[in-house]
Amino acid sequence: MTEQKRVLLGILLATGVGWLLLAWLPLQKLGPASGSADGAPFGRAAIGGQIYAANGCASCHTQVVRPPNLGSDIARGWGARRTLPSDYREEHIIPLGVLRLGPDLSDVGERRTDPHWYYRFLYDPRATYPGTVMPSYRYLFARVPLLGTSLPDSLPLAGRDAPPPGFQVVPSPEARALVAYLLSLKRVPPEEAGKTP
Amino acid sequence: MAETLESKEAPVMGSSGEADPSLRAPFLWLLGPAAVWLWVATILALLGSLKLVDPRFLGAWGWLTFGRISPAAFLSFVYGFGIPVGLSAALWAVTKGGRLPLLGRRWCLASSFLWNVGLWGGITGVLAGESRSLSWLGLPTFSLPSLGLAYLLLAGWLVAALVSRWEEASLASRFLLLGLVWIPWAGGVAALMMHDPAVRGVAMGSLEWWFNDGLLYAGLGAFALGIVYLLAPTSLGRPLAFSRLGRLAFWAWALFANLAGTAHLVGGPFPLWMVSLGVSSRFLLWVAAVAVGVGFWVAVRRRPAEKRDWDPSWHFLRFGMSSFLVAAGLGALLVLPAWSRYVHYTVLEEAQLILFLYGFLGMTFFSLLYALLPRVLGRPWPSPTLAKAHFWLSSYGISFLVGLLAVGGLFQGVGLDEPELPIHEVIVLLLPFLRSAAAPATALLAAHAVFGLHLLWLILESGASRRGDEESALARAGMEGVRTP
Repeated sequence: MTEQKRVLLGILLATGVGWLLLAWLPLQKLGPASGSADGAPFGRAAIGGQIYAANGCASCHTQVVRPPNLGSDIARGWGARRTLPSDYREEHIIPLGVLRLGPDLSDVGERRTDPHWYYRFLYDPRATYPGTVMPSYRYLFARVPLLGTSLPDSLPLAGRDAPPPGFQVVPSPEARALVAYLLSLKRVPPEEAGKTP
Repeated sequence: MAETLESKEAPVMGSSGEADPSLRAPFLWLLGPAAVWLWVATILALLGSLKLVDPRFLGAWGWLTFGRISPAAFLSFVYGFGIPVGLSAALWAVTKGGRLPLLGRRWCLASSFLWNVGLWGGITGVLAGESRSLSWLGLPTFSLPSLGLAYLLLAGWLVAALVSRWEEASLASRFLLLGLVWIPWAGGVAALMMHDPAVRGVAMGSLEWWFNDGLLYAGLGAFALGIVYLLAPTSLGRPLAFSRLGRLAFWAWALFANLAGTAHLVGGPFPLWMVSLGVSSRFLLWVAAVAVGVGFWVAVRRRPAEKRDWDPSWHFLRFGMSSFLVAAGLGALLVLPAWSRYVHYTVLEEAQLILFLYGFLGMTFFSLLYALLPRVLGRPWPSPTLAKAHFWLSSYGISFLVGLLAVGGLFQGVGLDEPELPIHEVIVLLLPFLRSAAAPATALLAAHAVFGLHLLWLILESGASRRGDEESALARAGMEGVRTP
């Protein structure tokens, strides 16, 4: 075999070793136990997961609770225990995240349970946390005519954010799906809460 | 003694002489759009930086929300600028510095067209909200066939040419071959697995990071190291020292670049062996980087005195190699569990990424462009002042950007480790650094604008001189035609 063929073969093998150890083996050992998708987000929450990904939420939020020796995540109340492979067992989009410019969201559905809080926060984060770097997601909301009484999900806006008279601001289907996804984020099962393996 | 230490890199760029004219169109088709993508990436990055200054800036448009423009900026830089310049380096190597004619020229043009169409679609898709937020795998599905076909059209031909015109002693050929082969191998497998609904669970996370680090180190990093070996004989007047060490570094790089990705997963839901493999691979990559760096600096020390005038290619190359060594060292140190506790998920990791991307890859690629384009276009760069402005704006921009993010990241990390300090107060600690970073980001935009204008000037001058040459040749032919009868 000539030298160039040896080099080419070596490159292919080195890449193959990486794929074997970091893609194929984890799939065999840490992937789903069966072909079924039980446990994965479904319905509106599943669509919300796609909206979470499409808007790059993972650019600023993680979904990984680290063990106590590697950070203060548990002490901060971001999760009752570290994240385990089984917490993601059936999911196809794994938004582990790269940066923390906001809190970890692994268990945010446990901490905040009121959808209206999320709607208000997504519409104008600075109204809740002045000075935050989180952008507004107003484009996920719609301004609709006010016909009689306000809709149950209409936002209680005042001051600069208030819509013109005769109008109300309501979440779009995308905002409802995103909030459904966030409410579904309860990666630690209730029976495990408080245990730290 | 010195000769035995040096690699036997053949100088692919003569100190003078124009490249084969058949190469002009392929290089311009590759590098012209690359310059446009560089602007797109920089403008998007600057917008992202301004949004951290005031999140309400352009806040009503979903297309320009931070979570979309930030990945779009990185993807534009890597796929729009980085890969075409890497392919140009391979093209330059297989044509022996433009001395050999190019076969398969039409493939090259078709590839460039398909690549840019696919990438415009892909980046538009990311901004429109079609991304799956998988970092370097974040381009939407519909753009992948065009990109894959475009890459294979050109890289397949380049691999065949590189192998058939193989030079035993060339380390540049080895690194360029690694970049050419790794990207379709790993990218194809990753794309197929990502779109298989049966692939679920945290394995998707390790697959993503295998590809992310691989693309940076084994793909683009290998292209950039190939460029360092390619340029050394002309920029330094001699090849890099310690060729045997360089060969060992190549094999270490090829293997450990494939294993380093899981270093990002410290503390994540993965077995300890995977994380340990990633951390130790990062260290071994650093060792390989030092081996290449030692060869480079020894060659620099022996650089002939007459080469010490201001040469843009050499200055960009030196900055690129310095960034390379620092970024590789930081990459190894930041993932140590003792440090990772404080710096993981902070902007200090972003600083390391920016140093690698803009400091090493970007500056090394510019080094190639300053050396290559005058020979392809048959004219020197029109203005040394613009070249100097490009270099100084880039180097100050990158240095301050990395410095601010690194110091800010330390504050952020210490704050995050303090459980009593609410997260929004941690970010308030970080804000002065994030806001100050808009200034060096603007300097980088100015640097890339200067480069773009300079390139446009060079192309226009070269076109004018070509027309002038053709007209004078026609006039001469006409005169001769008169005289002949």
